[in-house]
Amino acid sequence: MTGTDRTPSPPDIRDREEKELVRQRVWSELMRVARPDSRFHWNFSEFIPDFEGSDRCAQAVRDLPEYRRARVVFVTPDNGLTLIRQLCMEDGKDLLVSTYGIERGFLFVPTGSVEPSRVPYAATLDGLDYVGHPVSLRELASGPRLDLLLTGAAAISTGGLRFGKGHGYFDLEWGMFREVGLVADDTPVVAIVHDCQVVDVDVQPRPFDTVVDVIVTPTRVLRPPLTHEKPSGINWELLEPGMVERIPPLRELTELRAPKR
Amino acid sequence: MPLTGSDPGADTRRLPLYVRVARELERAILESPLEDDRPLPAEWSLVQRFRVSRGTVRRALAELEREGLLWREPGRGTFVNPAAKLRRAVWSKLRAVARPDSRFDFDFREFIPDFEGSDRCTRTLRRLPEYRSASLLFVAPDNNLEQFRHQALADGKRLVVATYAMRRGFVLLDPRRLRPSALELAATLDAMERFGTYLSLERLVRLGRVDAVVSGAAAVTREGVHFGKGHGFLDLEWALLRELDLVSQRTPVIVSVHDCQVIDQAVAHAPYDVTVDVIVTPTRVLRCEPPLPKPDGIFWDRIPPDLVKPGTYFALLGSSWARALSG
Repeated sequence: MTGTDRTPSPPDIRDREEKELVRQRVWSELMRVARPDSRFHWNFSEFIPDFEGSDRCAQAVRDLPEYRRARVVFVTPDNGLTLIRQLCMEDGKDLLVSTYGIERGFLFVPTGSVEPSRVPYAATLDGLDYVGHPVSLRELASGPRLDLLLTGAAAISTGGLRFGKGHGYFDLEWGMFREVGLVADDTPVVAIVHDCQVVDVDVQPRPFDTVVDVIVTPTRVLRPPLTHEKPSGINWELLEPGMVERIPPLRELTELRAPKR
Repeated sequence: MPLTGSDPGADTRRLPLYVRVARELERAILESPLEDDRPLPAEWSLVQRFRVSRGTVRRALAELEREGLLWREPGRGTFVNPAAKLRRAVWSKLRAVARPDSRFDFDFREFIPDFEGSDRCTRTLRRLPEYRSASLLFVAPDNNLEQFRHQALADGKRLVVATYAMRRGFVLLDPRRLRPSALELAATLDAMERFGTYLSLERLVRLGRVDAVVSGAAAVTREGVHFGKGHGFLDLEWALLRELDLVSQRTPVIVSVHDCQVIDQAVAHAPYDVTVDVIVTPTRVLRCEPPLPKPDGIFWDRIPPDLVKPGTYFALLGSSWARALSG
């Protein structure tokens, strides 16, 4: 189902080291503009932080045609995306979010299901757990397609290649959605980052990298040239050990796929 | 995979053999009486019992030691840590009624969970005379107190809330400076720092007396011995408040817990353990009488290294104490 199936070979490892170097460099810059997490403090390996100007990013996303057109929006549980989650609810979008580490799968917040006065509460990770409805991959697959995906990043290349916390959660989310037909290659992906997270490095995306279509920072909107196809599914060979056990929708997907084997 | 959150129905076949042995061993330990303080059977008998290699038994024991449930004394044997055992016995019951944390899922070693019926605890707390007469409360950043913090703000109480693991000190939430629509949001860990003000040591001292301390717990005994998630943060928070004279022996400490977290058995406590005066559960109010003594200040050897880093309350206090002594 996936492009290439291969175990990490020396080039992959070099690539990983390079990504790690970029992450470290960006994190030291990010310290100046980032906000700590309620639980993880300044430990950026555990979360993608909110930052000064994330409110301007949210406004800029609101002006994108991809957002205006969208009815169903997926947003990652990154701290810098709290306001855009709020705006999605206020703008009448159906909102889908993943839980932290995808450990409890996905939560769905149908439009109009949250009282207007509680929307800011519902947009936080703490609040989402109380207002969101747990939804399985199977249930999602029988509903409408996702029109837009919004994500944060630890860093991002000007070419649109994301560097996450290092676990590849967003690539997994994309892969799962793709496997059940919730997204297609042309489903837009928008990354919200601080300017200091945009790095001018020339790292070639690999088949399992979900390259973004639009990068939104507090000061600009970048549209990297589209040269790379988004992954057509999950690359099972590259999952960290224990991920299938830990991540319910991945487990679900293995069950959905099982009869075909 | 954290065992504390392990779902009884989860598929364990995929787990490594030593982890499965560790989980079975844990189950056997939790089924034995709490006061059972005998050492674990010798390695060879565990080898026979589980029909695995000696290496696997050793890895299983090492895993449970790493998790804090066991400790080894060379030459004497492997023993069960009673506090860890008590926590886990409670956690296995709590799992059925607990709500996950937004970050830590069901890993109870990292947080005190919200539970079914915490709303009834909130209603009961608000009727306590200790609460009604209070204007300034210290509240722990526990998930089961989120709704309580919201209601207390709505009742006009000022709250001092510790940030998670005290990493950014204490925050003051003052309802007079908040819009009514912001109160629910301000009660969450995720947003309270946007609405509150960080308290420097000087500002903390200037607040004056705290009228009551409200906390969650991993477990609490009927007599009022409190068990946190295992890091001792409530003890540290109390010690700090006491050292600054913001609380006294008479300041009531109230915990809100699920009924399954109340232990009907006497357990010894250490001089640095804060003790509880009132226990509120979804179904009842228990007063711990006679009150157990509370720590009268900081036990400096109990402070973890990252809380004495420059700029932290403990570092600042330590240096001003040292100055006072040398001056």
